[in-house]
Amino acid sequence: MTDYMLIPGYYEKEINLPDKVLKDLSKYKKIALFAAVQFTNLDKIINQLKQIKIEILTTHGKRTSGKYQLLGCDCFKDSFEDKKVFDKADAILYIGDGLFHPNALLLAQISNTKKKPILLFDPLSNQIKTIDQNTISKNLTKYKSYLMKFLNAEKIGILVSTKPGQQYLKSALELKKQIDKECYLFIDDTFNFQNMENFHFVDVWVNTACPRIGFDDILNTPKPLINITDALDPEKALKKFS
Amino acid sequence: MSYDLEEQNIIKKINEKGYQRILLQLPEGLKPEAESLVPRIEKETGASIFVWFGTNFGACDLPVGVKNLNIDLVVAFGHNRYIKDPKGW
Repeated sequence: MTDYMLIPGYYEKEINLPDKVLKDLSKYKKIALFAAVQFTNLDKIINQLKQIKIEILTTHGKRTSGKYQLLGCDCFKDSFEDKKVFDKADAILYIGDGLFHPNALLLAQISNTKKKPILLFDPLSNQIKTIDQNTISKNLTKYKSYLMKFLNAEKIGILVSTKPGQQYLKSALELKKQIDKECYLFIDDTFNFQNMENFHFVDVWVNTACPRIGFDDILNTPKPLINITDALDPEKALKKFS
Repeated sequence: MSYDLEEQNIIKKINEKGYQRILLQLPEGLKPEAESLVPRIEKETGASIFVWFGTNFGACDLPVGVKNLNIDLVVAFGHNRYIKDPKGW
């Protein structure tokens, strides 16, 4: 039996918001706070925000249990314990580096009429920046065209991962059973999308592994690729992305 | 290094359980830490330390098939517990 040990790698320094950042945030009344697991010790920041009379909304992604935490796959409207967190907040503040996690916050708001501003504070560089739907517009445009191609496709390749947390064989088999298209099932650990070229007979690929594959990776795949949830309900998907 | 990699906890667990083969899995940003982690853990435990060469996208991406190599313990850095919904996304 192999034993497993998870080490989050918590950031050891205290995280403070610089005065300039606090001044920028003071125009908001309610802020939803999110962080990468390394930066979830946010006591100092919470005190700073409370002092300038900002109400802090806390929730976390459904795929994790850490306070304030979200993962890249928490990218759906119903991905958070508090399903109304985006409606209630005036703005969202994310503490961490990189765009992988904060882009999930943009994706989760795609079908919301009123999209809330997302501010990113990177404790390593001490910098703040804002992201909005323009950040992901290129991917969204491409994804919409791939959804259309899926509707007209005859032969589908369904990708199943062997990664324990990304293995959704059940969903892959469900799709094969449900759709009136010829389906081929493919298995790999990490997908090298160039391998799609070896199976030229596949018109459109469906990803069942990580939801972010059907978003982040589609700019570089040689063939169209969509996510399993959208393949199972393409009409709903078209509405969501229109 | 500004992150707590809990090296002493890892060493303690290996020594307590008498584990012989350990696999360290690091996310991209922490992969260079293998240079110092491997000799330090090896020295303190006498165990054989291996490093996962491939991806570490999250706790959803733990190495599979390492049982065949008689790995006693996988130490995955950079993530906490992942909660999977078996019904699908």
